[in-house]
Amino acid sequence: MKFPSLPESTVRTVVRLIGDVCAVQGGQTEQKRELMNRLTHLIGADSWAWGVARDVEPGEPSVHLSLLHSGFTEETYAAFSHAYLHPGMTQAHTSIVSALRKTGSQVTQLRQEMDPQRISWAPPLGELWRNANIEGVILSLHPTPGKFLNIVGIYRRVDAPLFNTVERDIAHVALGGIPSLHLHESEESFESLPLLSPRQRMTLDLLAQGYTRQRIAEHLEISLHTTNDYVKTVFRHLEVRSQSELIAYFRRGRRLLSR
Amino acid sequence: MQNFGAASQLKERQLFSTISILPARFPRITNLLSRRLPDYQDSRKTYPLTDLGSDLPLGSMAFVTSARKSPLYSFSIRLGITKNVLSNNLFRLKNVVYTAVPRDAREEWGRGIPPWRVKIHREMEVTRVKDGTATAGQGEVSRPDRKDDSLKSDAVIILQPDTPAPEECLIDGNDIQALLRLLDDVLNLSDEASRSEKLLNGLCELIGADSWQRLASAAGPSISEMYEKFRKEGPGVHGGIAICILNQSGPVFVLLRHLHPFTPRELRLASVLLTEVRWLCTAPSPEAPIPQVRLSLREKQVCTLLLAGLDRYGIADHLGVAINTVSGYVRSAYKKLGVHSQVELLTRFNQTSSVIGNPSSLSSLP
Repeated sequence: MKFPSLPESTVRTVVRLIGDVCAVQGGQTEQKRELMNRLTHLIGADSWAWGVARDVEPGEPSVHLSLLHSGFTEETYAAFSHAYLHPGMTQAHTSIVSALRKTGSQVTQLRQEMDPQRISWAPPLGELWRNANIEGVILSLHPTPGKFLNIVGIYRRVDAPLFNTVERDIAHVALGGIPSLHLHESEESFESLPLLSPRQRMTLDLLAQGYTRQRIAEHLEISLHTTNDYVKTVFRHLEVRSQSELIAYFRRGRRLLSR
Repeated sequence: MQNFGAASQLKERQLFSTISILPARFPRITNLLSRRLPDYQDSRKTYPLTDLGSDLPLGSMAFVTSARKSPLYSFSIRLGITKNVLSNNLFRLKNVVYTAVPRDAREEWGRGIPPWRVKIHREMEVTRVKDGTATAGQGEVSRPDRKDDSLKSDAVIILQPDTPAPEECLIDGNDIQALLRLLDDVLNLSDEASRSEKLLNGLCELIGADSWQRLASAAGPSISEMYEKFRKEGPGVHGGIAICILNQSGPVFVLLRHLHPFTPRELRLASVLLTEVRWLCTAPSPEAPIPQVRLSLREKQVCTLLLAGLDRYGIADHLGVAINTVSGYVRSAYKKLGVHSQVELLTRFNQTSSVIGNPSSLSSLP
């Protein structure tokens, strides 16, 4: 998707925002957070999530891992992960994934563009998204040189209007303008993701956010024993031995010291 | 140059231009006027310039008035204005733009040209730099329900004589991509000085400038003096000279090019980048703040390794000390930092530098 032409005042705002992101110390994670927090403020969004997924074909279930997010409460975040990992979303994402296939470059779409048939508003998905307090969505897919995609979602609460095309264009330009933020040092770590079941991936997701096993069990509404099983599988899968190691692994993208 | 509407009718001669201002904001001008023209408070009159005499000091005001129904006055400013008047008035003007614009003029200006821009254009006329290019930072575009902070942003002008002022218009998608690409190139540079240098070099390449200069402060010579200087010593009459002034105390950026003047597009790109990237004009960053928590060297090393995801055994191995010693450091560090587990440490301090210094110090460990 080519960059749209924008009014000078909008370009100024985006350049200022990205200029400020450049000045953020502390590495890629902090720069992403600054970018997303400022961008959501700018276009009047309420929450965002930045995840990574394996490259997908239209109609295939997307497999992703949310790495960073903000603007959610514990309840809405849990509801959000239920919603985006729901198998029904595959159909709702067919159009954006096809667009990505066609252009091979960054694609940004609004919820109403991706899903003209309003699949994600109908049961059972509609309720899941409402529980997450999400109505307006801008989704931006950014392919990286490996076989991975960055998936950035920007969300607006239920009682607010949907995003419009101007807001979409701003998000597209701000996210696509700095490709180095989309590069991972740790692509190999995502390669094995599809081997985990959806429940295991949700567990991984929550572990990466620093949730305790007890809270993971509560969120997924499963027993502590089942949770422990999932956690063990995830640890074995990623070859880590503790939650701390897991968090560090995703944050740095590689083991700092060889074992 | 666009027509500034009714105000331009007041131009008596090519040498004069007009600006509309609130008298209360410009006491010195108003004082001068009231001394010269006792009845000026009754402002529905237009005075011929000759009434004021030709003995006004350089930089003072000649006067024409037409107040309409608003408390506004139009002044004509005599040419050869001094830098004091320029800076005192130019930098104040931006603060009055929204209150000082009469309703009918606002309608005339409603076609996308912000009033502050019109003001600055007029100021530029005053400095003899006719038909330059003026632009100003606007601050954040925000939702209508949020407070508009654009009035707080500093005035900015970028100018090159003899280039028509660009209308507010769309910036091409490719140009946006090119601008952001310049920022992308410096994203990983943490040193402010090298980041600025790389960005300015990139800008020169993008707009085809031969060189750039950063002058310490706009408080020095006036724009026209600066301009004359570069005209003489720099690229000469046929070249391009763009001067960007961010605010009174900030630095001045000058872009130079031999042979061809800059085009409006090039000036626009330069002005967007130079005026919106805020760290370009900040002084070299002050010393890093002293961390609130003072950890001992060993505690720091242990925390750095904990943040790297190692467990206590791994740390003991790495540092070549006993596991109990590591536990001791971990306990005392957790106490100082107010955390209770490694997971808590990782989630609380994802920016390692904020607590225990740069993680790159790891490489210097034994």
